[in-house]
Amino acid sequence: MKQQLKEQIIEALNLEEITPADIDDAAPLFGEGLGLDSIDALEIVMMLDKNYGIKFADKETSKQALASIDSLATYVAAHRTK
Amino acid sequence: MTIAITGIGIVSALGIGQSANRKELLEGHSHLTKAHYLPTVHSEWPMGEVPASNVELEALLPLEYKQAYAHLSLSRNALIGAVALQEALTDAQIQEPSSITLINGTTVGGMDTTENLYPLWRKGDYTTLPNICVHRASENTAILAGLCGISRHQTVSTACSSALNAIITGAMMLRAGDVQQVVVGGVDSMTRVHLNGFGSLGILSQHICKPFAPDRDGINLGEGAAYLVLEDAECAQQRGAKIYGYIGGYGNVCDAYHQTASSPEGDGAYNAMQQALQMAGCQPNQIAYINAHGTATPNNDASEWRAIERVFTNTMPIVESTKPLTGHTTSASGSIEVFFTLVRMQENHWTLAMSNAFGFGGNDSSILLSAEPILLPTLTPITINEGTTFTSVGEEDDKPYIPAMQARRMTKMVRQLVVVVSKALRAAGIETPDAVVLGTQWGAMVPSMTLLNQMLDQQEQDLSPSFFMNAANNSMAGTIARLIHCHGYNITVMGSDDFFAPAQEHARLLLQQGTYKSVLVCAFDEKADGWQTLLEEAGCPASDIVKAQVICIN
Repeated sequence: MKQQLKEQIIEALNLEEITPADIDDAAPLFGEGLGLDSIDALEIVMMLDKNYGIKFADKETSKQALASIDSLATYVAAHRTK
Repeated sequence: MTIAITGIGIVSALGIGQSANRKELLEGHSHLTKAHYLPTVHSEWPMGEVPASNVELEALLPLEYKQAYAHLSLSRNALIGAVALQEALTDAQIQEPSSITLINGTTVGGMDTTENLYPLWRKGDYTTLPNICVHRASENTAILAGLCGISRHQTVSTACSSALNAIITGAMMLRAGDVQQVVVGGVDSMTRVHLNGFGSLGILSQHICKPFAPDRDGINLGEGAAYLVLEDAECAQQRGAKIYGYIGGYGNVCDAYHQTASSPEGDGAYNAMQQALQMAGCQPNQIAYINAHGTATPNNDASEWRAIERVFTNTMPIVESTKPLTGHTTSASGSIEVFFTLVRMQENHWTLAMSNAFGFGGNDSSILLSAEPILLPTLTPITINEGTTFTSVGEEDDKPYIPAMQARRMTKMVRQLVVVVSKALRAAGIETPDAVVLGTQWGAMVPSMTLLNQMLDQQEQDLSPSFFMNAANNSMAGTIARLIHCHGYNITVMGSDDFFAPAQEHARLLLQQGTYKSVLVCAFDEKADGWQTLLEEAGCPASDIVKAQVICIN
């Protein structure tokens, strides 16, 4: 699941020179870690809807889920509808 | 020189003309409702539409000029603009419109016509294809101007600060002695493309917006136009013109922080307001009122409020956003809100007030208005040194020039632009110029077309935010400013066929002002799949070409 999420994020955000191995499971995706921004967050939310049928109720929930690959994998496993 | 405002025309959701707008502003009536004229599936987002159909708008225009455009389907953008422009010219008693220059700020341009007709063109029905050439903002301005008998015009496009930058451009032309009178302002009409684009960023509110409120949750969009006639106060007095007020100072800067977000400390907004105050020779405690940009997004209002606090510290003026009344009229907001500021000044007998307008790409501008004449610094003659122009038609290896994390959102030609910019700056021996001026004809056509196709194919659902933020005409100049850390003056000017020359002309005008020593001048055009086939058919093709040059004061 984590590997698949990394691949889907790399594709959705056009991260040409980054491989799944470069993304640390526990590191923050935004700001310091991978250095993604608010637009990337919107793109990831759209990707999760498309691939897993996930719709976030509010911004706080999505912010917590998108903190790292670890938190994202946990959230997707619990909330996926497809 | 002292610059007087001698005529005003305005069209917004509040109504058509000065008196309707003044009345509704003073009574505080919000005119935001469900879409009525825009054919959209989105009924959840209130908006501020101009209360007239295209047919009704066209009926308000003088007959004598309309005939020339009978073969075209006039855009709502041009119609709204022309109605406001006509009022400004009449109000200022301009006898011969052919003698005045229009500086028009717009981003939407002819997009409303394009999004209605493109589904036909895409299917191979070319009956209405001549309208495609009007998709260029500069061509749309030509029609808007022509509908009022004006033949000299320029178009600037800096997203939501376009109108304010048009006013600033006109003021610079007056100071440089290029013109005796100028009519300046901006227009944008509602389109599904930018409605869905703002929607994709998750920043549209489903309620009437609440600027600066703790529970604010986003923007309501609106449409409209406003134009001001500016002239030397002495000339105005000589001809006995009515004077609404004076332009005391202005600032155009770039936040150079992020494509859509404002910096947390509001650096761009702070610098724009400081420049306006300094030019006017005013202290912050003299300012009675600010018509803020105040879009009601959590980010804009926090950043703008912080900037206002930094400028005014313990002498805070009254801060108001009029967007809950009209909606955010994007490229028109700058001039519409200058009118509102003048109304507030007159009603409350305030001498000095300011108005802010900020755009995606970090294009932040501010203007200082005065009820009393303010003498602007006199310009001294300069000599200009033009550096080598570097050109690419897409052949350069861009990898060494752009970090991968930055490059991932750039189209091929934007990457090529970064290459020629790097070369031009190196040749000039400077890292960061004082200003960036970019000329373009079709703008960022690759992301724009992706967005338009997505919107049609997906029935206005799930559009990609990355494409929207890259689609604005000023996104390239914003990207360059961010990469080279240029926080100074930043503008995108729109041309047809030759779009480098208008940018060079703007750069020379800027250097004449005496506050800038070096300007990076760029040109940008890109082909988009499918769209290019249509342009070739219509006889107005785009090309893959970028240019960069540094122009300095000796």
